[in-house]
Amino acid sequence: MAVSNSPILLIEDTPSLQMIYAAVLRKAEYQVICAGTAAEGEAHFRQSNPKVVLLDLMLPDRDGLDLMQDMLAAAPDTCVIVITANGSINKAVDAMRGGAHEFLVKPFEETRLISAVENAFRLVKSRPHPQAASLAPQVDEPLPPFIGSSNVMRDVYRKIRSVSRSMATVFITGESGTGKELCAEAVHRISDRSSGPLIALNCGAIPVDLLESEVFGHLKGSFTGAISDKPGAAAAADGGTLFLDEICEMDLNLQTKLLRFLQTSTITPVGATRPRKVNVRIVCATNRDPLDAVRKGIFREDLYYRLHVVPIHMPPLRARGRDVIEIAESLLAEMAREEGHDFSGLHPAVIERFLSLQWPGNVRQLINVLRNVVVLHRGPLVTVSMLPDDIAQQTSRYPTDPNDAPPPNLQMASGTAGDPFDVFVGKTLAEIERMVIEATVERHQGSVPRAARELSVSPSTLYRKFDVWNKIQHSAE
Amino acid sequence: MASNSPHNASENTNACSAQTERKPPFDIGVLEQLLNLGDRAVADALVEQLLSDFARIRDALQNNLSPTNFAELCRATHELKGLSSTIGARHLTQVTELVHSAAEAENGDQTQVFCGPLTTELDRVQAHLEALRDQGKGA
Repeated sequence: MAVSNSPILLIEDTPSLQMIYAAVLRKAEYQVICAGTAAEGEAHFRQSNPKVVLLDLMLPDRDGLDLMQDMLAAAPDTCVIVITANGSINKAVDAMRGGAHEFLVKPFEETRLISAVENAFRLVKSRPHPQAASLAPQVDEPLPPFIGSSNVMRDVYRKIRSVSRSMATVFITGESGTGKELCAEAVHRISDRSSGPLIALNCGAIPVDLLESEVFGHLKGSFTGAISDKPGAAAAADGGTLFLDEICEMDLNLQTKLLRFLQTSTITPVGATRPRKVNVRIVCATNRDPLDAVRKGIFREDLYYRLHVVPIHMPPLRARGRDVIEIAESLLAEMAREEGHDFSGLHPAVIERFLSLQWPGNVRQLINVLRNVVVLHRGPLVTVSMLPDDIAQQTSRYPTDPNDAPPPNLQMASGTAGDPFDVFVGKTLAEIERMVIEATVERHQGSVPRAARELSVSPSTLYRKFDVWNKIQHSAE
Repeated sequence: MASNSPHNASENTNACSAQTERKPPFDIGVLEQLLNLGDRAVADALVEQLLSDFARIRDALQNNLSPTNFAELCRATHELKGLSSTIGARHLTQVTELVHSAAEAENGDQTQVFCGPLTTELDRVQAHLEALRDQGKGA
């Protein structure tokens, strides 16, 4: 039953919990070494050299995160699974960013613990020999097929390489056309599970009614039109990576099921009675601000914290300095070859123009501009006159980056001499309620439960209101 | 606990509920599953250990309530949250969360107010575990 004979080091200071976890692991035929303090854990770690460590983050004699850092510094290949109490998710996220393999939130099911340990041992077994790792490129060198060596992109390459040996969920954000899908592919390609499948699913492109079946699969006859069994994306990605694009567009009901899937590592296809265990790493992406989606009630806060473990922000093209020229020259050469035209480069005026543009459509827009030029002209240099009119004439930068805009919210009384209630004049009671709720959630950095506590209502009351506002907004659009 | 079979664990936990004449403070399914992780010796040891841990945490709460030591209260309630949720004592988890939040916010009044219900619920959980232990010993 156990995936390995190597012992697991369990560091948990509450004796009954230590006893329970050890019993679960021993029942699954794992060898367990127990420690109740950080000092004891450290001593066992040095003596036994365990490949997998289960670590409670709150220890009486030392912070669990510090202990983890020491263990990973001494033996970087160790898989540390951190355990934390509900409500300490931020600490678990810090641990994942610090190199933890996975985290478990108390209380967790027996199957979840076993599944986390099995995954960790599989990863340990599949790791390349240390000599191979030393041949790996520098962590911030460009990562094909990305082009560009700006500092912001070097940071992206570094992050992608750092998460390659982890099971941590990657949350990619960025404007449309910045390369979120390429980033997801790179995360999978250089990960320990690259030999497994990469299954991509666009949550915004699939009708709500079909999405559950697309993600979790269905059995023949489970609904009208289910003419045969369908495995679903989660099952198809077993042993590999599931890429959920436009995650913030996912239906709220399905978000609940996705959360359950992340907690238990099991899926239940539509029409099935028994859950099935799968081993999947999740990478998701959105072009929205996910916290804003949480505030608006269209994205579950608990799911956000589950998924937002290692965030990677894909910078817009306008923030990438001379990358735009590197990308343009590379694309130009490729397109010229495809079209059979003799383009050799960009005129200095075009370079200047490209560097001054905002590129709201990012790399996708740049591709379209160059395709237009290469198809309609022969070369050899791309000149300003060859550019499409909107690009040739557009010279000024946007006055402000929309991301830099201050939040449109309550700015009552702060720095103003007037009546603090002026902001409510002319508003209906319902509008005022919404303003107060949104401002309170924002003051609590997007935490709906904390805002609910301050407003003396239950979080579900706020979620219901967000849902209603969202529906009103959608129907208005 | 008469034996280590799931069936008997269920009978025992239900019997304890009947004795206290109130809804049991546990999710019976969760506790049963834990008591059936190993043989009878493991189940007995687990009940003893749970009683010992709850008593220790109760002492920590009482010792740090007056004068109030918020850091220690936070630590104790954090541990109690993890422990109570793992054994399926949901109401205890909820009340503990209230005390934990109040202690984290260093709100002395709220901490004092919520500690009352916490102690009551802790009493119930301990009473059930004691009944479970005594049945196991044939008391």
